[in-house]
Amino acid sequence: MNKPSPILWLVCLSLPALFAATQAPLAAADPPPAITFLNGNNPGTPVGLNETLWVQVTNLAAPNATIDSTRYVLFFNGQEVHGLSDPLYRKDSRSLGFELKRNDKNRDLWTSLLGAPSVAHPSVEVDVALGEKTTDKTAAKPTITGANGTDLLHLKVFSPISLAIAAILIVAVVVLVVVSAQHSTTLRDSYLPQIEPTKQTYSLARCQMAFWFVLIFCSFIFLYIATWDYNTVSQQALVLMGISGATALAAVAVDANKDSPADFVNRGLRALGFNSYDDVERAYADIDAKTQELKSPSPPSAQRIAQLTLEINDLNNRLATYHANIRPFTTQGFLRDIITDINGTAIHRLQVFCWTIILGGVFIIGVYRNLAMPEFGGTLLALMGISSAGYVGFKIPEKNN
Amino acid sequence: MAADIQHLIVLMLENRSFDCMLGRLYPDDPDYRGLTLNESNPYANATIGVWSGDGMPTDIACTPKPDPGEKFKDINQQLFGPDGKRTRAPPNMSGFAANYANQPASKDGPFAPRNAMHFFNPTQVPVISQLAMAFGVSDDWYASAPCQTWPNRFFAHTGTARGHVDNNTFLVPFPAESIFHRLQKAGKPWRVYFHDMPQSILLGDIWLSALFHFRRFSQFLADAQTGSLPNYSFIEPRYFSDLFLNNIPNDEHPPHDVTYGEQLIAQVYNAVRASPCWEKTLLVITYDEHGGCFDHVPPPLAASPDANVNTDYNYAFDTYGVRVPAVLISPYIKAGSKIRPPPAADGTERHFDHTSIIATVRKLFLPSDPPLTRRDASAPDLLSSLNLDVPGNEGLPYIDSSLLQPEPADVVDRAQAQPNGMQASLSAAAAALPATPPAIAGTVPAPVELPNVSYPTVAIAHANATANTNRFMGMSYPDNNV
Repeated sequence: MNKPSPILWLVCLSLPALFAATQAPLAAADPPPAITFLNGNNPGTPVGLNETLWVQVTNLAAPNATIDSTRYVLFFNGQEVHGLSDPLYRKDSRSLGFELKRNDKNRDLWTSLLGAPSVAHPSVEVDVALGEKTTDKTAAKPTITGANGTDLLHLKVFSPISLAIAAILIVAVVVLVVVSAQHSTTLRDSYLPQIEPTKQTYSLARCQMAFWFVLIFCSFIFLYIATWDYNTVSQQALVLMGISGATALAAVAVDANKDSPADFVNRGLRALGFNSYDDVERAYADIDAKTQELKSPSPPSAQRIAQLTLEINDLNNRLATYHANIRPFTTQGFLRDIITDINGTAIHRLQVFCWTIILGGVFIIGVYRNLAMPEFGGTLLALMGISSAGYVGFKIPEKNN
Repeated sequence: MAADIQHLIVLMLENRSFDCMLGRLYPDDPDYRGLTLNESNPYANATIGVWSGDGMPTDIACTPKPDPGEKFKDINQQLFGPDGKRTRAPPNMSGFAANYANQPASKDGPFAPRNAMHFFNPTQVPVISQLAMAFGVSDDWYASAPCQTWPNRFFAHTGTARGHVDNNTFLVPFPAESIFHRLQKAGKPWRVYFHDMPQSILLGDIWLSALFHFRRFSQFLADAQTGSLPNYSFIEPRYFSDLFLNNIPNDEHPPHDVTYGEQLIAQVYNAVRASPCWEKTLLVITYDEHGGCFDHVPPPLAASPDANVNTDYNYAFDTYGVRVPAVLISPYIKAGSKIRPPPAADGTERHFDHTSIIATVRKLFLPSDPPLTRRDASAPDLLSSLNLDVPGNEGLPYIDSSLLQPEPADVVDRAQAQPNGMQASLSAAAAALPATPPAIAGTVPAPVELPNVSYPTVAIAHANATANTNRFMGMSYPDNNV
């Protein structure tokens, strides 16, 4: 066999070098690429989610040279930001532009960066680096960095405006629910329509439903403002809402199907002419009118005075009967209403209350720290379900006062 | 050895005649003056006999429905026939059916004349029947006057009606000395136990001490249990339907279901029987008047209590009213006793009436006190019924009263009904009660006529009666244990 000629050897050995020369941004003798400047759409301001991060890199390519920007990936604090669109490239500023989007592939990274936000720290410092995609499916490495802090990014955790909007929305919802709870029967039982709405007792089932509604709604708003991600309602959150809704429905059904002391009082009040609270107010107005007539400058006849006196007495007696009988059905305060029944503190109510508060707390902490609605395990959800089912079951023999 | 009775308890129910409740208790005893089933009244060329019906469905338990007439004029017609003309001769008891049929229309239905002739078999009213047989029954106890409820109840407390024959003519407060007042003066403990409004609160002479002596029925049960019953206890039944507590009247006043009165009797008996006071107790269960229910025994003549004569009818209260049931219960009474008072010292026949209660209280607890009126002066006391030397009759240890819970629809039905005479008068009287009882002797208000109020339903009458009464007595309402 003939030996290869020296010329062929030379050509073969020089091919990789030639290939590298055509692909390398600069000749091997030039300094390596480095991040020299980071900027967002608005120069001088921190960059946040859903904004474009421009990374200016020196020595990436010759001036006015075309580069394949899709080869580059972004690193935050040494971790690759997966799932981003291919970066743009501006020749004039020699910058690569990355659109910072949160998605399933990079959710954990964003959570670690933006979770547990604080008003005192509206932005966090992040080390930015670039790497090149590999062809052999190995992980890219952050090879392009900066020096002297040029690769330090002030990443916006939240924008004050967004935060304000979120806060306004959340406060509005909370205020709406609280005010509604205080001044209407939204969160109260209405066993007796003759009782003033603000004096009706609070309903555990309705309050629980409202609790999860407010929690999930506010979490959704918070997460959307913080991450601009609207796919944040977890299945477990839906299950919790379902449990609370089913509990409220079952409680209403139980109340409707048992002959309770409230039914007796309702019948009694109706027999006295009090079908609603309006009738009660009307009775007071009647007393006032008759009293005014008694005090009028031109006194009525003795017969009329006697009649008015008896009529006022009759109305007062009906109202006295009304007040005496509605007393057990009027609110004793939020906490006492929802954790007590006729025999005092009821364990089936107390456990629902406690588990709701505990799971609610876990939920809030999860949302705050992880920027996601918690993924409760089946056991915890079963606990809540059993607790609610127990409440409904024990409610059957419970008297409505 | 004389019986040692330290506790006299009277439960006075409403408006049932002796024949109606106990007429068939001893059907085979010719000496027992009950029904033979041959008794009848004429009406419209027909003869209407006594009847009981089968079983105890609600319509039987509420018979007679509607409420019979019970005013003085009605009772005269019931006793003396359609013209109602009183004579000194014994009445023939022939007008019950006719008077009933001629009552003004009622929302409770038509006045079928046979309803006035109804009676209950012992199996239909087992509680009072069992007690009557286990202890003693008197077939010789009459209402004090052929009058409505109030005159008879006032006779039970004061020995007189002061000339009033119907409820609505009374003054509030009733100005006569009562046996309660006598006990009060003597320092003897007494109590009135009531359910909704005590009729006896209308006695003016006890207003000064009313707050200390009027208690709800639940307190009776408690007092019996703890052995702290007073010397004299007077129990008033529930007169009104109470929608709020789903309670139905237990006074047995027609057309109220007698089953609930039976329950009340059983509650009282069971409490007394289980009480530490049992061996020193005499319990009397009676009714204030016959209420238009048929009885076949003509009321005899009676002693006029005082000089008061009802001028409208020229009636001097010199006859008794119709016989009413009376069951006497004590361990000193033999089972199966049929109790009639012994004749007077001069050999004249005597009869029990409500003033026999006063006579008994006086004899037991106020031996040196004079009578309240001529009527109670002549009344035989009840101690003659104590026919055992030792408290040897243990009677029934307990009576199952099968405490029924009324159907809400029944309570609503009674609450929406037009008030009966007793209910209307009580609620009107309650409107005349002052806001608080007088606190100082000599400040008891002067008696006033009943206010001219008319409440359309029992529910509204009840609200007014209880609210005014509770205000007067400083009590709260509702009480779940009433």
